[in-house]
Amino acid sequence: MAQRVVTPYPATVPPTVSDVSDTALCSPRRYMLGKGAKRKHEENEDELEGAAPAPASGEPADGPSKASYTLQRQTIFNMSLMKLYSQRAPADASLERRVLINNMLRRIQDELKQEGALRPLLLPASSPPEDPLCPATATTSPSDGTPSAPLSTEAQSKDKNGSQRPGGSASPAEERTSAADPAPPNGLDMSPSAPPSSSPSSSSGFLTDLALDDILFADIDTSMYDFDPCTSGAGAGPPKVAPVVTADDLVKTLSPYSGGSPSSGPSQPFKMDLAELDHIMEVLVGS
Amino acid sequence: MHHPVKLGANDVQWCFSQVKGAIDDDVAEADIISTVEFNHSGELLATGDKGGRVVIFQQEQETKGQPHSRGEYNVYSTFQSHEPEFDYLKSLEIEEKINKIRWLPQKNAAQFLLSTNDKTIKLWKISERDKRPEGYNLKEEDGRYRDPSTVTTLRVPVFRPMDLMVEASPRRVFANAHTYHINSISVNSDYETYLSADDLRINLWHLEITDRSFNIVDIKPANMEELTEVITAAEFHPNQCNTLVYSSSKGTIRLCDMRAAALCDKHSKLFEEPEDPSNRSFFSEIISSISDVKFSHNGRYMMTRDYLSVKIWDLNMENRPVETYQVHEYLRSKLCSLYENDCIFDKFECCWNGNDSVVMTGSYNNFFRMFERGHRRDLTLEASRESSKPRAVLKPRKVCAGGKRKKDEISVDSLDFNKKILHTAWHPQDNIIAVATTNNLYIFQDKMN
Repeated sequence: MAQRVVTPYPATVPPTVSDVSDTALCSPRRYMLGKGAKRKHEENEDELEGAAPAPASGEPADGPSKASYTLQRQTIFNMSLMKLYSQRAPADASLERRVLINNMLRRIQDELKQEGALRPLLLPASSPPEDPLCPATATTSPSDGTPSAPLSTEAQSKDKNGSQRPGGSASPAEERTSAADPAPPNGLDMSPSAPPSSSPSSSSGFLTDLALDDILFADIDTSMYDFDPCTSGAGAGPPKVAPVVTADDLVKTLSPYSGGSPSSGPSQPFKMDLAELDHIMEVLVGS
Repeated sequence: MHHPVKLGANDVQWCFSQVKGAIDDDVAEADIISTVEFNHSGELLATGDKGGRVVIFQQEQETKGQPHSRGEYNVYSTFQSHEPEFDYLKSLEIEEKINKIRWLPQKNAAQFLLSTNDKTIKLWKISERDKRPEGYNLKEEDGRYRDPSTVTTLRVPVFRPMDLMVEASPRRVFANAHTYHINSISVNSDYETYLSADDLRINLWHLEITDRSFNIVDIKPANMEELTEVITAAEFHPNQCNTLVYSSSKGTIRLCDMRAAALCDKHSKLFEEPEDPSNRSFFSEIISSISDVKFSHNGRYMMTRDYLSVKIWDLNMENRPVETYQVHEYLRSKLCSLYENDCIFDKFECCWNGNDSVVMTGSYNNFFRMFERGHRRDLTLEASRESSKPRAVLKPRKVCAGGKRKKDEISVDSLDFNKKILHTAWHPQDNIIAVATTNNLYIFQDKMN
């Protein structure tokens, strides 16, 4: 079974938010996930800051600016995940802030999907990778050429997230290769979801947390206990069930998504996102 | 009487007048100022803080001794408006921080204001007492009751002068109407009703009635997972009691007419400027989120504040603002860092001067900016202890965006992003401004020649 050789990234540990808040204006250099080539500070700043606006359609034509755009996008994606999922006191989180960060995540995810970079290999940790994977990869298999570079960037960067935990990192690449399951032997085995069952106990523990956590809006929305007299109309309607994401839900999202057609429709974009984010969080929290 | 505003660098007009609050750099969290508001005459200036307190300053009458400066503002009343609460259902603390204060127009000797935290609005009456009754028949002067058998004569109690006492008492409590956090309150020009807005809904209240309110705007989606936009600010029109506007996190402003329907979900006008494609970035949506909306005093314009700019809209033109002023355009290349440290979510307010010719808003490094509409001039000033000598003229500031830094300019990288001016207020008639840094209130006024 061919194992893809993973090029290790330099093991830089980006600072936590508390690190950065000490400085008046954090240097963007801290977020460089570059390939180790030394560059001047000014160039780095241009690379990472607004120099590469989101293109209206398609990708930037030339290689370097596309790489910097992809890098910036990945950085922002990681930052947004950390913002939403770090353990902050609920009082801190304003709804507007969470909505804006969530919109940012969705926009980036949509872009990635459009580019075909995000493979639909989304698995709850407890189920075996084989069966859902094969139909998924079979039905959604664009050409391997173009997405491979940004995908590997993304995959590496997601591991980089894993190394953000205090206590540092062994070489993240080593972690991955050692934990990597035998992925299906096709060109799409470079998906970031390769080692899903490497640590089933911690991952399922995370899923349990996920179910209880009521991520994003559910903890504010009290649809079950909505005492708002102004909007409940003439008397209370039937009590609505508070949204709880379980492993079952995630499995259910697999079939429409891996089938290629988003038949789950616009009413469940969150659950699809949740499954994807769930997997990313696995990489962060698990193993 | 209104003094014409001169903003030019050669005839700098703004002078330091007073500063309120602790001097030391150790900021107690409860002392962080969260709202500043002049009353309708400008005689009173109210501040709210994170600890739930309201402090009201009163302007002294102008004295003959100092004809060249206006009266000082001194503490008039201090009271605890809101206390921290605990929501047992959601296991969440409800902060006592005062989000907004709005004064009611004065109808009698007492003053009234509305103050709100995230969940509850309160109507406070502030009244003076400078006389007290003396000479009761059944009570001694110290309050002890007299034995009725010892009363041999009767007398009529009379009022005698006493030291001025200012009392604040809560007259109404408007509670339990908001699931989400209240961001705005606005008194209607009918002086009978007011609105309160949270992230997803706007309610209409009658000032006399606390046990019910009408929901007039509701943008909550049926499925909360589809939520992509929230309400960020709302205000009633200053003259038309049927008109209100609310702004959103996507940079739109909706004008609603309450005569059209009971539920104002369908806007009468939608104000939105198309995005400039050359400025597009990952952060376009976030920086387009409107943090404040204010009608001009004459009711013909409204001003919105987003992260980098102030825009003035003609109510008759929906497709773009009539004026745009860049507050700190040099931050556009720093948005990624500002996103990381959450500064990009800072909510700056803005305000008009009395005759709608100048607008003002805050920035970082304790800078605040004024834009003179007619002459298209702008001014950057700083609220700092260093320039706090009495009647000292404030020196204009300049931020160097790039290239060679001139003398007295400050480079972008040395700006202190922890020193932010979010709340400013302008006296309704005179050139007196109140500028809140984190825990200090600065009062500046123009130099009276």
